[in-house]
Amino acid sequence: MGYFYTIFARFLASLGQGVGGQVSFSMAGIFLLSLPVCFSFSAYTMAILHKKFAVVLWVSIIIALFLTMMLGALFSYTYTKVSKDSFTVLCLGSILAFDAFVRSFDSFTGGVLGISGILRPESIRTLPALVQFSFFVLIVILVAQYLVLKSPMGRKIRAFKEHPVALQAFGVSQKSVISFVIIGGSLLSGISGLLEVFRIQFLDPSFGGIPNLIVLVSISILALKPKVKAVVLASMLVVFLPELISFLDFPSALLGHLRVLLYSVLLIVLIHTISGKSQFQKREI
Amino acid sequence: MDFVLQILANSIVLGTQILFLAISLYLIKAVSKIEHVSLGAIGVAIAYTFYLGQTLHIGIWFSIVLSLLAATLLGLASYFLLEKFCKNNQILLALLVSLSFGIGIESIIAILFNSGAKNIIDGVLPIMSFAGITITLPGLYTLILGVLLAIITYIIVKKTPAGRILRSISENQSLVATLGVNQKRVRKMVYIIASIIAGMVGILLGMNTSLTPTLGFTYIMIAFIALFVGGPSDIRGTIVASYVIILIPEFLINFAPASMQFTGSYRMFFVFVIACIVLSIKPRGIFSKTVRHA
Repeated sequence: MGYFYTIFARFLASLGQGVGGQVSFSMAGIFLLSLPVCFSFSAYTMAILHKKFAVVLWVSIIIALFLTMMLGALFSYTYTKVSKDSFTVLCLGSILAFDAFVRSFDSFTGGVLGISGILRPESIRTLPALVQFSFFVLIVILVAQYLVLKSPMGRKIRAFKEHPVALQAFGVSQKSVISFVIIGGSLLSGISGLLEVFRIQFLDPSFGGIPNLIVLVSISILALKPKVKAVVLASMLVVFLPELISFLDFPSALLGHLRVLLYSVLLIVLIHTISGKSQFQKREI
Repeated sequence: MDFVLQILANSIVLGTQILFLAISLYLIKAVSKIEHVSLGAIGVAIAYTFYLGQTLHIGIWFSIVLSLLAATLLGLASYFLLEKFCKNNQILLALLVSLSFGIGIESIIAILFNSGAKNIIDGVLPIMSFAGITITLPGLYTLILGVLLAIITYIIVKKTPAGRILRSISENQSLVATLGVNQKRVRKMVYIIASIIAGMVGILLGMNTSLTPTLGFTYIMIAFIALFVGGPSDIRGTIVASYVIILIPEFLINFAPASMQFTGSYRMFFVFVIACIVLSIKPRGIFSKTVRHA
């Protein structure tokens, strides 16, 4: 039962991040590759505030999420200032820069050794309670996503991907759409980071990073259709499929590498399959 | 003074390693507009092939042939994976495929050779001292080959018909096709050449330090940043930026007040900050030109 709870908690954390990925990658066409940074940033901020500065846990969670939104605002500002290519470079670079930052500021972050013994809040101390709480949080997120998709903002986000200049011509501020998508995506990624760190109760520089980006992108590419069920099914596939490997008789040292290999192959196949007929295809006018 | 010169020499060697990868990235971007970030992993895979040859004691020349074979295969694999996106102008999707390809290669290396560090040269590294500067022999080779590569690439790209074809493919594919240039063959060749250059730097890196499966990723990211900081449309920008984004962090790390306690692990952080500053001032890079679209 413990295994089931662990995998289900991982699925819920990935789903939260997947929603942010779906909205930014698939709907708005913004390649927000910095989401793993927000994932790690919120977890580290919460852990540092609580463990190093003795801030009350729930308060540190709220501050961490607020600061993650600020980080998202910074990325949003960058998106409006630099070219799309440069933004992609900066997003990928930010993953390594954050990794370097975490390793260097070891007095706060614990460096390569990380921060251990991160306690869950009293009300979700056990794993089943955490899963129930995560489930509740994800229901709220999915309902919010459904409402946004049906609202004028959802239409603006899709229109931004189709033709940003036309959107501007209709009097809609591009910046408001960009800010909404990037800050919202960052916040969702931050929430997922917190749920994940409460599951594993340990942080080190490998938390988040490139493997997390691969999972996130796989979910986002699978969930191309702007529908809630698409992102749920995509997250299920991406999280549960590699679990099949753990039932095979591989040495435990290889399992992690095999899982990453499977993700990368899955992503290559997915992009090749979907690119020809997807919304990523440029439509000639 | 000797200390300053030593830091300068070390930074130039590191900058040259970045330059190798940045030139590979530049060449591929020139013919396909694609940012081929898996070149770092490809370079490391080729270095591991060389290491395999060395451990099997098949001799250095057979190891080099084996490495060239691996470079050709990986270059062709990259071409077949990315060509579709190049034709459809789906550049960001190509970036994701390239990223996944690189991570897949890293995983395969880790599965085959495990994650532990491997040394191509066992024992003490051969060194050379000159005017108070000590440099390892692989470092010196890196420097010489890097300078040669930069000069040759600059001449080919800027002064020869082959260079003009290279640049024109990324500008206007249809026009180049009407001139009878076989674009597919050019791209295939460039992918193979870029893989060989990445392999060269991988082997030199493995000789100078130790090989690990993920070694290439940090290097390719710095090269990627150098390409954009310099301006991806101009080879001069790539060459200058490769050194600038290494020299500034190295000097900050070594000459900052002791109270700041900057260590080598800050390097990537400083590179990122420099990239943010440069790209916010000049979004298309230092050597970019303002292009008027019809």
